[in-house]
Amino acid sequence: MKEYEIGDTLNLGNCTNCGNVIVIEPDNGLFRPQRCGNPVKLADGSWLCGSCLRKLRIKYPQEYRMTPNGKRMEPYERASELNEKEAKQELEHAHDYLEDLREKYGFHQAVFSVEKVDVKKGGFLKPSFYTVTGHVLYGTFTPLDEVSIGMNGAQKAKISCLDNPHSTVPVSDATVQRGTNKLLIDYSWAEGGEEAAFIFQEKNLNLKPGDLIIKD
Amino acid sequence: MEKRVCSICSREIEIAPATEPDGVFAGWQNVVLKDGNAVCSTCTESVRILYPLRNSKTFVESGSRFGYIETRGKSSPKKGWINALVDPLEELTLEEFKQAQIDAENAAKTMAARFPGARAAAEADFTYRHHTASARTNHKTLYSDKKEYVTCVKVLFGEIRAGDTVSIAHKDREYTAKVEEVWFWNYLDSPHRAIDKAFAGTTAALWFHQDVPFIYPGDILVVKEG
Repeated sequence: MKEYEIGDTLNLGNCTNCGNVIVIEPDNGLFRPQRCGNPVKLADGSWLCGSCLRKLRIKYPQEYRMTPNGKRMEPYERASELNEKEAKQELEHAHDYLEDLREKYGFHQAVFSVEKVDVKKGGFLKPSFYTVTGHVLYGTFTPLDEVSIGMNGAQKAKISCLDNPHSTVPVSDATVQRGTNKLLIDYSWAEGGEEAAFIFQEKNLNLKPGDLIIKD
Repeated sequence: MEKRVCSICSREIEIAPATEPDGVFAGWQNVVLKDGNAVCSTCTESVRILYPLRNSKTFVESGSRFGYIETRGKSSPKKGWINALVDPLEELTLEEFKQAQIDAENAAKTMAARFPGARAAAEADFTYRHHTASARTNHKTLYSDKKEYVTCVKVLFGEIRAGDTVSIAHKDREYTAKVEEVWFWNYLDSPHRAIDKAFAGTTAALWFHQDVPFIYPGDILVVKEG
C-alpha cells in the first residue's frame, strides 16, 4: 500500500463539465466505490466526475474487461473514449436520450437486459440460486426490489442481492448474507448503464439471455 | 468561542476555535474572511450559489476520528483520510464578499427564470434505498419497515425543506414525491447530518418515504410556488 503524507490530497482537478472536484477513493477506503461514483479520465486527459459520468452511462454502458495481466475482470467506462467536447455535447442530449429510452420500453421505471443466467441448486428443499448477469438499460435496481420478468410482467420475483458481475466466488447463502448485511446493503445499487449481477432465490425462474427484467 | 459582529448584518456571532480536523460537517458555520472580517452563516447562504463548499479528501492525523496509538507509553493520533470541506469564502475580502452578494442575486434570478412558477429547483444525482432500521451490533440486519429512498441533489435555486413536494416532469407524465427529511451531503460520501433546509449552491440528500423510481440522474426536481 502506498505511504501517504500528512496534508496529501486526492484532489485531481475539476470536472470538465460541471466543475465538481475530482477525487479518487484511496486504496485503503472502507467502501468502494465512493457514493458519487468514481470519475473517469477522458481521451484528451480531462476529467469527468462521477455525477456527469452517470448521466452518460445509459448511452455509453460500462463493460467489464480483463486486466492486462489476465487475472481479473475490471470495469471499463466506454465514455472514457470521448474527448471533452464530445462529452459535453453528449451530456446536453443525455436527458432526451433517457426519455426516448423510457418511451421505447413502455415508460417502465427501470429496465435490465439479461445477458447470462447461471443456476445453482440451493440444497435439499431450498430454492435455487439464479445469478442473472446483464446491463441496466436505465433506472436503478437495489436488493429486495420486486421485479417483473419480461415486458408482460407474467412472473414476479424478488432480487435477493446484487453481486459482482464477474465474481469468481460461487454463489451461496453466504453471498446473499454478505450482500445484504447492514454495512453494505445501503451501498449496493445498480443504475443505468452499469453491468451487474442479480441473485434470485427462486424455485423456478423462466429467464434466458435477451429477456428483460422490469421494475415499476 | 470568540464573540464577533457580522460585517454584513451586524448580528452578534461566535466564531468557533479551530479544532483537530475530522472531516465531519458540523452545520453551517460563521466565516472569517481573508481580511479578518467575520460574516454570519445566514449572510453566507446567499452567496453559496456562486461559492459552494469544495469537497476533497485530505490525509490527516486525527485522534477524534481514527483513535490513538500507544507507542512506548506515548499516545499519538492515528492517520487517515477525511473529507476536507474547503470554504472558498475564506479567500474573499469584505469588498469581494459584498460584490459576490450582488453577483449571487443576479445568478439566482437568472436560474429562477429557467423555471417559471417554481419556488426552488434541484438537479438529481443518484437515488438509493436506505434499508436498515438501526446500526445496532446484532448480527441480523434490521430492515426498515418504511420504504426509505434518498435522492442526492444539487440545489439550483431557492430552498428545499422537509414537507415540500417535488415534481419531476417526464415524457409520459408528471410525478410528485414529498420530501420527508433534508440532510447535508458532501457530494463524495454518505449524507450524514439532518439540516433544516437545502439552499442554492449546496448539495443535499432528500429523503422520501415512498419509492421514487421515476427520479433519474440529471432530472430536475421542482418545488412549485404555493
